Amino acid sequence: MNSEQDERQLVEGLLKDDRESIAKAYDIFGAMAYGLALRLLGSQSEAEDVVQESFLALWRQAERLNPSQGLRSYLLSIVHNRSVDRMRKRTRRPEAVLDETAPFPDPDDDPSVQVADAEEREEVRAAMKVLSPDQRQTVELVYFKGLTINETATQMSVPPGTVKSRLRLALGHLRQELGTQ
Amino acid sequence: MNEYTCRDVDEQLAAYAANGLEEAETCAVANHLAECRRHDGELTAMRADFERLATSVQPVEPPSRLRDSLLTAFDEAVAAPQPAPIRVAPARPKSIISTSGFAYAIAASMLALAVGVGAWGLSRSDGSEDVIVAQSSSGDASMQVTYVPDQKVAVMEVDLPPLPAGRVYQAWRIDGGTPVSLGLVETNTGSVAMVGDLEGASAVALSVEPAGGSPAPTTNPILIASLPGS
Repeated sequence: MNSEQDERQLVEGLLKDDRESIAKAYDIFGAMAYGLALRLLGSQSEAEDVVQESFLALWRQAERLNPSQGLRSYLLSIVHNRSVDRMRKRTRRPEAVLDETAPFPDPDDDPSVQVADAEEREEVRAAMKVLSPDQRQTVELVYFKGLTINETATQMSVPPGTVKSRLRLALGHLRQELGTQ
Repeated sequence: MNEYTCRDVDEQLAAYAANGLEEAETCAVANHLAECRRHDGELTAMRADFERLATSVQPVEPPSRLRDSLLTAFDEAVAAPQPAPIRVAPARPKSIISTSGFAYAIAASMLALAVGVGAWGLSRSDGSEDVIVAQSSSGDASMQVTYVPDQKVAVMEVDLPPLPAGRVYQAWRIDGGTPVSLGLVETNTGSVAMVGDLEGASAVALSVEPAGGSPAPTTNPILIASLPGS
């Protein structure tokens, strides 16, 4: 799915409480949402909870959805927010079930992945390579591990201001590489 | 809390967009953004950057039970009674009153009536209609707001999951996208009365905040009840 028309129909279905529409949204975006939640939380059960909550939130917030901006982006934003909330509530972060030393696994592992999505992932991964190791690590810790700036600063043994600066510069480089500036 | 300048916010914005700030910093940035539109474009762009990062993660096929579980939860949510919000009658001339047992009793009794009769249009004996009801639910959290314009009293009937120590629920009036605190909801289950003018508000939202509450939301709302006529 990827035309605006398709997404508009999906949003219209969600607005009508149409079961087939939420099922279709799940079939299209479920693996991506689950992959992100699992990547962030490192726990299958928590990732399942977050994905279910996020799709229900997508349905409940259908009135606010703008198909031209993409359901996928909106959904992934919900998944990230809810995952980070859970991570922050933990008194102790559980051991990850995934290999978190490999932030961007090989897409060839999953032949069912749509080509367009795989290409986009490759573009972002390639863009990540232009970042300095410090900038990459900062993005990894703040965005993918849900650490606060202060926690990241402690882990990297640098002042918080340096972490903020690296994060800002990393986004600038990524935007430039991906031609979205 | 220190007020942030535009320069302060520029320095914090990427961390803010990534949910990476501490609560006090998040609050300070949110306060500034509520009054300064200069950062809107950059914030939107930064959020888009992070969303692109999210799409770079390898999809993982979820267990098949998750689809079944989602659709079951969806069916239950659709089947649950979800009365539409109502706007009943414009308010008469308003006067702000203090929180009083009287005001609470009026609002609470109207709430009880609304629930008891299962109808969403309420009328007074003189025929005027004077209550606004809105609802919202998500997962295991739900709230119903019954607002009495005459009294500027809102009664919130909530059923919310317990919070960890040091966190509270806080209610917000949303007006043009800007949240204004209505007060703390200091119970997980039951009714809380609040004095506040909801005229012109588009919604009432509920968020989780640090103990004592926040001058501006530091987390995304867990519930948003749209008010009729908005």
